Amino acid sequence: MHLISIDDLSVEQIESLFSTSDGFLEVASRPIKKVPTLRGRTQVNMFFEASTRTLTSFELAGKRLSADVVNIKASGSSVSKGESLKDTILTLESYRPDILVMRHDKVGACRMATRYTNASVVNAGDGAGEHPTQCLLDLYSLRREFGDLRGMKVAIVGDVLRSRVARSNIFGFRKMGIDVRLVGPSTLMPPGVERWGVPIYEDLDALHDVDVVYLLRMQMERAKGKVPPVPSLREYSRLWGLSPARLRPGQRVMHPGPINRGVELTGDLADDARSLILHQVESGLAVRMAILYHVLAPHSEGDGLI
Amino acid sequence: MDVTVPRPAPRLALRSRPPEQLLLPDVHLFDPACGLDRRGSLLVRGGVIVAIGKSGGLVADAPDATVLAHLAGCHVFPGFVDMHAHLRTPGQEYKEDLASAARAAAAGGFVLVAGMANTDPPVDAGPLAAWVLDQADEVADVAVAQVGAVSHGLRGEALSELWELADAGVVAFSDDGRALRDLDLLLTALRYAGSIGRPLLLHLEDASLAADGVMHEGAWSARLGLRGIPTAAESGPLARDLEVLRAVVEERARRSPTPGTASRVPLLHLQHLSTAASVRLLRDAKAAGLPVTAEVTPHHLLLGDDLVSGFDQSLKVNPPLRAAEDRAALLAALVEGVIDCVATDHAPHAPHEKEVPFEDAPFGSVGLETAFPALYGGLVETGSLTLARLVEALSTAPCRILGVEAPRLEVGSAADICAVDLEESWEVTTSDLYGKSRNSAFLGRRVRGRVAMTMVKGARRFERTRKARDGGHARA
Repeated sequence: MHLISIDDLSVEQIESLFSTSDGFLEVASRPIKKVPTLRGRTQVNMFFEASTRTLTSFELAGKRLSADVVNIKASGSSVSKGESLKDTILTLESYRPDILVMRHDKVGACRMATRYTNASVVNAGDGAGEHPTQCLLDLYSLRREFGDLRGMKVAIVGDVLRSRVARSNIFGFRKMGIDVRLVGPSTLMPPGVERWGVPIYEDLDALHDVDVVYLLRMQMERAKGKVPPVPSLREYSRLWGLSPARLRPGQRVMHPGPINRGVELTGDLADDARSLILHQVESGLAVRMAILYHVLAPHSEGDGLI
Repeated sequence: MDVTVPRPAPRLALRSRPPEQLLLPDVHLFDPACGLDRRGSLLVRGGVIVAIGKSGGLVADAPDATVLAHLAGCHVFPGFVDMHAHLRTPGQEYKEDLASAARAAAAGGFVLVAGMANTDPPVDAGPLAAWVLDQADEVADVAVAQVGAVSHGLRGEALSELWELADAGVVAFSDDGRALRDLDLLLTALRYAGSIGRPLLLHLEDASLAADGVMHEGAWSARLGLRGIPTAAESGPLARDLEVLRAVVEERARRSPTPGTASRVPLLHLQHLSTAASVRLLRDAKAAGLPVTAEVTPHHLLLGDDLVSGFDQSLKVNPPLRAAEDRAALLAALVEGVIDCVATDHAPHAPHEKEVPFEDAPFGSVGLETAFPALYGGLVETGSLTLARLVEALSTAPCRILGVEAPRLEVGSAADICAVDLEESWEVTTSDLYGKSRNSAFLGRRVRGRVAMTMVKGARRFERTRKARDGGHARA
């Protein structure tokens, strides 16, 4: 019913989701991109934190499935008047929504929301916690680009410490048989990460044999009150920024966006043919349509997604 | 498992001089690292030691060599290395500059000095470190290494660009002059600097305990009415910082299970230890296998807080001169090797800054010219310390900590050596100080062992006319 953590899904559920995504990807190529799948259903997108692609993607996904879609943002809503998260959700629950897509700056907020609603809650990013739909769209992009995921090698580079994307992708990728390694200054690796059984490297030399370099955004805005983990973005980009020259032929680059040109990667690499960044965005729409479908489709049963 | 990050080499900068062909025909060759302790002769050519022979030998090998017969009977040591000096460049050149500091160093038998980063502005960025080293290339007659600031502007808030500093050639990182008050900064530095391969030098001082203190807190501060600095101002933060180091070491060991990579935590080097409590903590930390080393200054080994009763401002140093039991613990630790090396904390201040009431004077004493003679006279001659251990603590040990090649009395090694007349007992006067400032804690004290000649890269950088009755000397 809910999708809060990537751990909620089995390999079979993820593969089934991808089959559905294939169909919706085909829909997106038609002149008329709308199907009646979720007609009469209500989808509320609650975004308590800034977002461009995720919100657009979920809104379009719902609309193309013919759901009634409502967007709520923190600014301009009663949240800005001091309403608690619980009260906001209870209020919305009076309208009997079917799906709550929620982004929040606090870890665990989506899990909390499930206690106050009968709708299916989809986590669209909770603080530094998880971003399971990003993981699924990344996996789908990899599947489209490479076919078989099993045995692929992916390096996740950069700000693992503050990244919800990393916390979903590391576990989701490994679940699908991808060999994952982490690369970056050790100040950006969360203490305890070594217990995840993922190899950790400090130097970009560790990229030499991977198929894909997955770059994370440097989230300096989340550094408040602490000694910054790196001295400056300048030093970070000099040592860990990716440029076309550091990629081997055949290697691909991914990034969840928004990218910081000149920090995680050079601007020309972002625009390079080896970059899958826009490909990821395209995959995102199909995958999110599939997620909404699986969460609500009539054959849904049990606590799982399908 | 971890990929090794190439370590940028520390840059050692000095003015180049044409290498000389020099024969020391009859000296006492003494280098514990090479097991050398005998009379002999030494031939230097092209900047390196090319031959070591019997006393009076090697003359036939080098008919053109300049023969330094006046050094007869002197001990020749591997050149001394001071990993803790304040060269005051940039910004405080009225106290000292690279040329004058190098002159003082050479007069003390030093061939390499490391300058701290608490200058004005602080050396907290690669280009500034490179600038200082470029200056040293022009004017310094001994090798100069530069230490980079751990924190941006020495403010203790955010890291400096440590990789850039390392790429510019800094030899270590330190906010010396100030403590790293914020534990998160120490933790972040230990994690971030792990792969750089440069030690982190720690000035230990709790600001709240040391606040307004001007001398050791004890019987003498009570008697004189001066605000004291308790020993816990040093040992307190040390205990705390060692726990952070331990945590990072354990974290690294979990992260890199492959032997050899687990040690990629920066060496934590404790600067100018002054208390028995610190020695106890250091001893335990070393026994537990933590990557920690320590230095002690000649003045903390030899001079006590009782001397402050004369209100000589040159004796106002930080950390302060401590009590007899502290000095005993420091000496025992140096003898055993628990304290690894001797460093001077050479801290020049202009006369107008020091010639104020004791309480108002800045902390610091110069120390390059007197380090060996003070320790030789004060500890070796009295039988408290062996000459071998003293030489090691002044050469091999600091080089091991800094990760630079140590001077050696060995054929093929760079000719970085000093010659010392161990027979000469002398009283330190201002004319024995070669830097710009005069604030020596050893002024007026008797010491033993006179540096007669210092050679760096096979060229003489300092030479003294020996046995001159008027105490005259030549400045190289």
